[in-house]
Amino acid sequence: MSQPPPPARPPSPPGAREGSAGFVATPGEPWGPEVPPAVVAVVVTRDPGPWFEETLTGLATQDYPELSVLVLVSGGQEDPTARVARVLPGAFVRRLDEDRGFGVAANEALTMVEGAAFLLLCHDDCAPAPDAVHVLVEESYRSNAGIVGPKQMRWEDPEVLLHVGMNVDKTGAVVERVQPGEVDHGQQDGVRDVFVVPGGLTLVRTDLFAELGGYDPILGAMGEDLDLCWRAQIAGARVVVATDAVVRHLEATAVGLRRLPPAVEGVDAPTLQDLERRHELWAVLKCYSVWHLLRVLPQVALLALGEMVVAMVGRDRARVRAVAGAWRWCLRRLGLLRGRRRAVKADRRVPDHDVRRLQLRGSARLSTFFSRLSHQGLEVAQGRGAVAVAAQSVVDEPVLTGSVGLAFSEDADFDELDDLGHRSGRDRFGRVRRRPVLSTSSARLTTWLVVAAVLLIGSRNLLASAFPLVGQLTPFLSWTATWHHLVSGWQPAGVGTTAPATSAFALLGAVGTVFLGGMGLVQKVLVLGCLPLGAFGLVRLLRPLASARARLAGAVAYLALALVYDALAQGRWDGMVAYAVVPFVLVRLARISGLAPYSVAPDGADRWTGVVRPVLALGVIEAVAVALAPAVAPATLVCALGIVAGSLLVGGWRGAVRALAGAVAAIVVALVLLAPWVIGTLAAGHQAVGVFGLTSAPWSAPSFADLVRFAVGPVGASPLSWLLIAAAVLPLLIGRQLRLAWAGRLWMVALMSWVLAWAVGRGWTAPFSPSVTVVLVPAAVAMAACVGLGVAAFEADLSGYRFGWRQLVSAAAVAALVIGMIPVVVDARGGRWGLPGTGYADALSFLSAAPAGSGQATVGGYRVLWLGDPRALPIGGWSVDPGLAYATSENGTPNALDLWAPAGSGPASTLARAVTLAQDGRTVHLGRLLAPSGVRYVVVVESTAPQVPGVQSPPTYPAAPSLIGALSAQQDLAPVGGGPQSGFFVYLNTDALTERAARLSGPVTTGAGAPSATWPTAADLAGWHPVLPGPAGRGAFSGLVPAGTVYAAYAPGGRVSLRVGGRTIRSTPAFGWAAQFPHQPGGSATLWVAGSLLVPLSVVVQIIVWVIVAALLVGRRRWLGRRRRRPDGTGPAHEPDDDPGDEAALEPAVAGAAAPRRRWAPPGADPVPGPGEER
Amino acid sequence: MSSPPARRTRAVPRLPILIVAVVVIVVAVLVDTRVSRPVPAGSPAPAGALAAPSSAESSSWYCAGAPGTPGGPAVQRLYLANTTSAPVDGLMTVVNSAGLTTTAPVTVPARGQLVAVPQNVLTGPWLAEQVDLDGGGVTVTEAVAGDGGWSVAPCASSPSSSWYFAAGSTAGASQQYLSLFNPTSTAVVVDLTFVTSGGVTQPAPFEGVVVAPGHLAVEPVNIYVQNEQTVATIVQARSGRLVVGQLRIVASGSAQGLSLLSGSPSPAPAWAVARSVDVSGGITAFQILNPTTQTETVTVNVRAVTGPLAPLVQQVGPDATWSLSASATSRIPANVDYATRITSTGGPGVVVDRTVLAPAGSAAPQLGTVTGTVTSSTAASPSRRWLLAAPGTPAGAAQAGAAPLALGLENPGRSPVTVSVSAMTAAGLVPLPGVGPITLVPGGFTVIGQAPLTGAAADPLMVTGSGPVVVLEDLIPAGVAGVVSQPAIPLAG
Repeated sequence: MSQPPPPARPPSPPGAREGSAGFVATPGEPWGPEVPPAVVAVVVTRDPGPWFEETLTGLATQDYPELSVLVLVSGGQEDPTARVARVLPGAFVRRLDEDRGFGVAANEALTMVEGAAFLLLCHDDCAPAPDAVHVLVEESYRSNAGIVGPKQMRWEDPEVLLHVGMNVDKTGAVVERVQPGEVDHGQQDGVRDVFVVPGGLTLVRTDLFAELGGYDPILGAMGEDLDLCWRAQIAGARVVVATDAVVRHLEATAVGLRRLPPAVEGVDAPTLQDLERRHELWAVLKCYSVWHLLRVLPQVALLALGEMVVAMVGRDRARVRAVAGAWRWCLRRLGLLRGRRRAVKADRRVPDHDVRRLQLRGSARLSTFFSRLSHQGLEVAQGRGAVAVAAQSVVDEPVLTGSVGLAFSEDADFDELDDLGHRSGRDRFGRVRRRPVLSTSSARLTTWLVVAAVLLIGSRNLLASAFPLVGQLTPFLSWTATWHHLVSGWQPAGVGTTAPATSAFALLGAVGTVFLGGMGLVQKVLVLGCLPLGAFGLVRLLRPLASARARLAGAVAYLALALVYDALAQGRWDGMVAYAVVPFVLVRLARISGLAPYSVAPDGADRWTGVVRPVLALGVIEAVAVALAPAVAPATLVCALGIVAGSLLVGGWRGAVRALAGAVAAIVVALVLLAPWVIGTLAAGHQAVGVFGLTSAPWSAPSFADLVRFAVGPVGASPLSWLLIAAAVLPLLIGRQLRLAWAGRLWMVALMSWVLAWAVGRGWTAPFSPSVTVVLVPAAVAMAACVGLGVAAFEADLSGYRFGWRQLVSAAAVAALVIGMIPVVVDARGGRWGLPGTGYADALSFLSAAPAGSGQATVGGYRVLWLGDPRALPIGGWSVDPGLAYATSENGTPNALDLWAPAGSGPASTLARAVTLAQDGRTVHLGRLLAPSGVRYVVVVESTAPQVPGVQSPPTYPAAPSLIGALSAQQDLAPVGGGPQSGFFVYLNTDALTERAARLSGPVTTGAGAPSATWPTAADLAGWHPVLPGPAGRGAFSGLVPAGTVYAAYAPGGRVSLRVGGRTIRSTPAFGWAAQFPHQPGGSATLWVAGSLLVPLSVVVQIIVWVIVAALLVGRRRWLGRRRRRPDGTGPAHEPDDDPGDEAALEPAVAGAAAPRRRWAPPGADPVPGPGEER
Repeated sequence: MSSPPARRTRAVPRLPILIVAVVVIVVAVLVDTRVSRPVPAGSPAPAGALAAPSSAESSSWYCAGAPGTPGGPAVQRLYLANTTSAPVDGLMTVVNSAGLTTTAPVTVPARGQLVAVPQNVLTGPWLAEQVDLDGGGVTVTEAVAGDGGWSVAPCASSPSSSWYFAAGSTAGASQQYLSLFNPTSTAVVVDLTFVTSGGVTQPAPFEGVVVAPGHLAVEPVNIYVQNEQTVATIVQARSGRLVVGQLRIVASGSAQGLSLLSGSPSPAPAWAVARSVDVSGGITAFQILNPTTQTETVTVNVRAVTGPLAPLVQQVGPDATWSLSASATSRIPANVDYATRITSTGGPGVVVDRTVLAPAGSAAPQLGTVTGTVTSSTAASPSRRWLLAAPGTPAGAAQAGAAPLALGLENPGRSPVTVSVSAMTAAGLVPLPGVGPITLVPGGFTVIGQAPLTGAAADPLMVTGSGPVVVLEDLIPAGVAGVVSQPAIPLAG
């Protein structure tokens, strides 16, 4: 049913007011005797939904007396005339045969309406408040504005802001002025110039609309408002938003309640994102003058290219298609574009540089991307583009935004914020305004750059050269040798063992493979990369709790703690690994706990999402960390127990127990993932606990006070390091709610960490002696996080107190934070973080018979017995006594093969027994006792690196004086290097055998039939000559051997075989553990040690398990991701516990804190940028 | 859309966490500062002689040396006493001052004593020996005998980088020799310093003396330090470790003697000499050397049978000696037994030797020295057993008629100690007849006379105590008691 065309000039159709739901405006009330300017509301509709009546009712209830309504039915199946008549009997209805979009339909008003001063261009899903038109018209006159828009509220929730005008950057990217879900408290009220009045309900002067030719008809949907407003400003008209005029807007098309017009959909069925991008580009190409376009267009193209690359990396195909399609669409219409540009040029009254003043500087899209990347991660940064701006409006969950927080803050400068929260830099009187420190992203970026520069300066000499052999910084093997060692089933540690190698070799091998065999680079990345990774982890830890500024403070404090540099200076790689990993462990534990504001899964999530996956993910992290640094496992338990203890004090114990259970479960997962190594470790019995660390000398352990300030090495030993700890007290003093609760938990974590480290150092926990540099890391994380929480409390809580001591304490804490960083910054001058330049590989190069890398094989092979405090040994080993550990290397100084000793020493324990004999004064022939093991040198290290007077003074861990005295008393040990001033002692064993030796006479009789090791006699050691050359660490050697007896100092002796002249000879025991081959005929021979076949098999199974777990994590995540995008998945993350710590979840974390990541936003929704962060 | 009903937010408690944090930190700091840390197993104060435990896998002894030329001034013998129940094999390496080395296997019988005569293995102007044993529980004592008399002293169980001799003299016809034996595999560079009544002297020929590995060097002190009544010697190795012995030969008309003195490897703050007697007409003197850089306040406590006497106190400066002549001190009665304890404060300690000069006309030897016994042991477990080698066996007496004269036992500790003395025979330990367990009060001493000892003249004596004691045996023939004395060798384990 079609209506007859309305009269061409219906400024005030009679009867309109009569039909307006009973409201009848009387001229002169309030307008006085003068007749107000006529306004024609042009409502464009197509198959309107149930909301249509509300729109009509809104128009019908307007208090504006001279309002006429023209309903344009743009195609569609339904004739809404009857519906219009029921609500607005005086309205005119006209049906257009083809739906070519809102703009084209609205343009019809230019031909249909005469005499109206204003056109009110209305969507059919936009219901104005009764005074909306009144206010808009009034504001148009008052502001002399050409286009006036209202404050748009959510349709279903009129308390929530939808649009208050929009801004645009130079690339045409539209940027919202309100945060998604921002509740209207009047904080956005006021009349402002904006670049775009979003569609919905727009009051435009009729003459201006006519001059501009109305909407660009090619822009059927999305972007026509941008184009119109831009051209209006070029024509010299103001575009303002009058927030006293309020409308509710459904945005039916954006939220998917209505399809795009068929003419717009066309054959390529563009998405809203496609339309938005192409129309933005169209506006740019159309509205800039030539010179400006030449300047801007390359930037737009470059940004588009970069965006596509990033989108492709992130597999965001829709974005790639939208960006590329926009260019394609515009370039195909160059002819049309030229015409449009001519029209714009004809209308131009304002130069571009004046128009540009109303635009945002830079690229809003790029800054948003980097802001999210830095604060919310890549996943969020790669979220949907500007389409989400519209989609955000339907996010159900109200999210606290910076605008709200700031609105309620005591910030007198609130009104000076621009639409992105940027401050203009000047107040309303034009005075330069002082900004809070680190309140802008540029300031924070600058800070990060400074921090990065300090790290680079502090590490410059480490980047330029290979690590010295200090502590665990042993040289890596080639990637092939690393893989081979993993699967070989035999390792040369001690005197040899078939225990499985640690999975760390798999990790090193994999990374080395990725780095194409550049193992030196791999080592640098894996060691030095711990620094930024740890800081990043701390940012992640603080993200739900604190603002970007507070996160920055926490991360910088973490980097300013001396612990990691002390670990590096002493070559404690395990400490650095823990430094990098523990923040992530704490993040995961916090999420598993569900304690506010952390959450792991939304309400209604299945068991996989809520329980299994987080534990599995934490288990994978644990597995990687434990493989490299086994002490991370107890450190994880310290974190969980600390959370439990803290929660008992501040509330939330149920969640804390969940965290503890999760930690235990994750460790179990890690043990499963490392099963072969774990089984081998457990098989070592009571020695298994040694994998966490060996008992160091209690007499040289740091004091409790030193542990508290992390002064466990040469870096940061200054008393100033106390200041960082002092700064971490701040949240306990001024924090409230979540900040106080988490500060309490973190302090308990720190206390537990300190106490455990202290007890370990004192030897009270022996033989359980995890590395102190690892055990201290939870405390370091906790202290740094508390520094961040202190800043957060400073921002959010301090204003709630009256002026008093808290303000003074806060100021002191800030000062302490800044000054407390000085020691580490000063230590950066050296460029090595205290790591000595000369390691044991340099000082003890004479131990190697063949120069390293020469390719020469060492005939016979020999071992070096290393003795000393575990903290000083450059090799993994086993404990003799507290403060005395031992280990062996082959043919010289250690390499990565020797870094992770198996838990059980096996027959190598005879070495410890021999050393004990010497210490007890029960032998003067230690060399003879060590000879069967092929020990040629005994090296006692008393410092982490050689002492070079005037050059380097590494930390010293003196061995028990009795050891040096005992070794010096040995008749068959000759001192050949070092001394008290060198930090090491080297003794040559004058009775030594080689690992592979032969003699003409008969076999060794000692231990030839005994199952246990026995001491050799002088006759056992007589007459041997080195045979069978070969490199260290290999299990096979070939060469000529004389007839007689061949001896092989490899365990287990039963796995050693010798083939001479094509005949394999069975071994017999020697000394109870080694192998000998008596009466062999001599000739060309090959000796090899057969590893356990179970080891390679178990490695294969292990790799399969890893792949399955990875597939589970990644695959289920993707699957879940798809499921999450279904609109029916909603709900809060968890039910708060019934305790104050958890109830605090209902309270905003911090003003300016990042909102929790919204995992359940509708499709295309942009994540909410953290308050305090610029978009 | 309706918002959920707001729940009232309960405040997070602040005080408990503050209290817990403060309490934990304060308690930990208090405990940390008040609970002492374990100390490392210190290197036991170098003991001149300490027998390895019987469970030892191997042990060694080093005898610094004596003249080795047949018909020379003295004949050297080694007494190897085995306290274990199994024979111990070993190898004796004899080194002469000409640089020659010879080895000979030795087997020390179970609970028995072996007499080795190095001169039978190798001859030379001077001989030193190294005895390597395939086990522990064996002591080695060195005896020299010549025309002037005889002397006995324990060999050293380990080399040391320093040696100190408080006693010595080059006055008159005294000849004083230092034998420097390097049993290690690295060269030793040694400086010799002499502290005389005229001050400290460091003759150039004794600076930087190099002793090659396995070599013996003998330095005649009296050539360079002439006619000094007291000559204390400090031997300090710049590098390496060695064993040093001192031999004094006095063959003047007024006194004859031959004194073998084993040095002390380190100063100590407490010393004891178990038994001394000031024989009328003779001289008993305690030489106290302070080889440190700090002034020591030395106190000499003398305890007679009747009770303790008033102590004697003297400040001894760095590199100075105090020669306390007991005979010239009126408070020490003549011809009575007394025990002496010497303590020092202010520095690392002192070194104590005792010199006894018999009255003119006494039987030879008339001069003898003995090293005091360190009682301030820093070893983790002080010994509870001591062994005295028999001065002679039917097969090889150090001196004709050599026999025990008396055995002095002193308790230097603060608790009573019960001591028993046995003869070590092949059948086991046989208590001395008439000598039951003796309880020594703190500071107390006793002397076992010649009669009970005579029956065990050919057997080593084993002294077993419930605590540390000082054991000193006087031997005959000698001018007076104390001219020939030997301290007991402690047994480890």
